[in-house]
Amino acid sequence: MPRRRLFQVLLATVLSICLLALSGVVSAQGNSDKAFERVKEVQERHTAKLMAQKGVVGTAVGLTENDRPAVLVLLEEAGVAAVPAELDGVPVRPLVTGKIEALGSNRTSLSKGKARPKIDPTAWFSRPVPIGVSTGNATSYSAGTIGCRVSKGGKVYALSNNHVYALENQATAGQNGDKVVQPGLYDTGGTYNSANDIGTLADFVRIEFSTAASNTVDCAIAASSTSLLGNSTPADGYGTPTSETTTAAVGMAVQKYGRTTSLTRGTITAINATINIGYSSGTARFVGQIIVQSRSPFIKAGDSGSLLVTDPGKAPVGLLFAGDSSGKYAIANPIDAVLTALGVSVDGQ
Amino acid sequence: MPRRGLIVVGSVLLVLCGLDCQRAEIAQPQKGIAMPEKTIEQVQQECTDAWMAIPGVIGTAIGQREGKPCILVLTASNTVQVRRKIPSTVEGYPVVVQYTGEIRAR
Repeated sequence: MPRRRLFQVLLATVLSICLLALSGVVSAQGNSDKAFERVKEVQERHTAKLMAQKGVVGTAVGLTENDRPAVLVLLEEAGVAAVPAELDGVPVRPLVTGKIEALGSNRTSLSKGKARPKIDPTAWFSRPVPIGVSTGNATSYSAGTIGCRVSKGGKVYALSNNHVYALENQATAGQNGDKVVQPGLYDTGGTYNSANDIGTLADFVRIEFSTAASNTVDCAIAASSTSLLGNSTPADGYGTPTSETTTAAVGMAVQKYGRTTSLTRGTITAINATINIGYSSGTARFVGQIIVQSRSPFIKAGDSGSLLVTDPGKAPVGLLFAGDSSGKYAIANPIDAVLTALGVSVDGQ
Repeated sequence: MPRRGLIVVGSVLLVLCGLDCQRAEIAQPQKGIAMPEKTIEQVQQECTDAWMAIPGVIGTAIGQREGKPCILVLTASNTVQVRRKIPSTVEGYPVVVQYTGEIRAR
């Protein structure tokens, strides 16, 4: 063969081999868009069947450990479902992701990064109702908060303020006492439904509406039962308070769960406060009170009756009942004064 | 004779206590007479009635400033005038006037 001809043939052969090799390499690696398209088809064709298996939380298109396009099968736990090694010629790779869940609403300032469900404390709650949610006297268009469950003599009671349950000394307590409801009438459009009863006003401490008075507590209890009243906050609160109480001290970190502002945190900045409090019946001077301060509103109208507990200990320290209009200053009765006055103890953990 | 002396001393002490709460006259303890140191709660209690009679004052409390106990005077209004009327120290305890606004049952 002439030299030139040989050269041409060789060149053509080399070129062909190169072309073949290139196309072969591409399809062997399979990383072209076409290859991923193919994997996607396989994924879509088999997803329903794969996800019907318990423990499979999803499927995806990804890469094997050797960087080859593959169908990924996402699992709740390792080995929880049978995953084939390949489907229709495409490699399948199991990947343990754990359960995938929608995160809670944007309340990171309160939840410190943990996902919590958003709950409305003014709503009706299935019985037994949690503490920290809307409640009120059934004869009044108002609403406050259930502080906690308390007990005496084998019976349980809902603890809140006099001005919430006893309507500033005006309500009837005892055997034929006023009913208390959950939610309070303010949160049910003003209509009373006896199906919402959770108790009967049993006792309260009278408030003396005078600036010369030395009131110590604004509290009341309604006789209830463990089938109507629980002893923990809703899931986005602090949970169950301890039965053992603690004494307020300046600088103590505290928290509360209430009908209006749910879970809030603050600091005790003052104790032994003598302070004039405004009520609809007039001004009442209180002594020995706890002052809580917070940068964002600690309590607002409707949070009255909330239990003040330590953060993070959950030990009861006070019963909240008053505040300034911004909510940054909150006033609480020392909890021991409340419990002693009513002859009850906290029914917590 | 001793009884009369006691009455005189007692009266002087009472007057001194009353004067302590107002900025106008800061009384000095009588030399030679031993005076027990009062607790911060006692000082708060002795001054509260006089202070809460000042327009704008709604309460008093025990707080902390720079890690040390202090007496707080809480106001809903007139804070500047209140500050002029109340001494910054009473019986060695700092007194801080703090505006909170009206406090209402919530």
